[in-house]
Amino acid sequence: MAPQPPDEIDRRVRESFGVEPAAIRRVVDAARAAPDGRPRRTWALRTAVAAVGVAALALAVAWWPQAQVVPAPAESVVSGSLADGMLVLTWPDGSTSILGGDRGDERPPDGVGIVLVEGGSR
Amino acid sequence: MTGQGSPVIVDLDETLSELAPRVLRYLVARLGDASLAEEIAQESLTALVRCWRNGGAPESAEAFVFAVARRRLGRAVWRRRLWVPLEQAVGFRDGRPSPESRAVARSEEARVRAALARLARPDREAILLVAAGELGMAEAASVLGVSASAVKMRVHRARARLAALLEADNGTTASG
Repeated sequence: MAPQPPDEIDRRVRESFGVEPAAIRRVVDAARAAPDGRPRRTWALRTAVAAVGVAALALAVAWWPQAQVVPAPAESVVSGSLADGMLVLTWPDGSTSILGGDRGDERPPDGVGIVLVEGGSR
Repeated sequence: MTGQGSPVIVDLDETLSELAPRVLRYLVARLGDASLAEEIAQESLTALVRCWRNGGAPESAEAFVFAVARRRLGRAVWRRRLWVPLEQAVGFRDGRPSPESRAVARSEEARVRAALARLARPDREAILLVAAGELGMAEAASVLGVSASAVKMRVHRARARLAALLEADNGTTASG
């Protein structure tokens, strides 16, 4: 069978998608009745509001984990005692840590002195 | 018809009457939804009327209207993807059957639509603007933002592929 000429293809496409005369009339009448002023940019407004909302949410999500960490005071005083090679520390929140290795050379010496403790409080 | 060698239209009413069926047909072909197509066609022609009254006729009224229609169509497609499943879930869209009097036309529409669906998207868009929207190559190029020679190539490719697909479909229908 011979291939369809270009015009025939275009015509077939055009005629496949019929439009009702009443619809054409409605569209034309509505366009003619359009007011002269610029339309309200509801789409742009909605987009702007949505963008601000998303930005606020992103900021809140970024800030939240930081807000959960309560910084310890810079000059916290930790009291403790040394007994039998073990250092017993009482933290400001009331919890207790017992430090000291099993082997003798890892243990702090018995007695009284200054012990430097490094780390953060949680 | 302005697209393929017809004279330039300078009267607004005449322009509206001439463009309305073309933009409607193009939108129906793109969307497959007559009421949504009517809504977007109305918005596109309204945009033309406002532009015309405020600053005079655009350089190419048909390129203007089709460009607006394409942009709004894109938004409508996204809106539909978001809302239709919900509307169907709550029963707002009942999917009414077509009247019997339209059955034959619908079957031809379905055949052409199925063939169009198998084209590459740029080719499909080009052939719909030229065939359904009756735009000239220059106007279609302006709407698509590509060169006229690129549009010509796409339309040529789309026509050839569409002809082959419809031919194959006719063969299948006849033998089946």
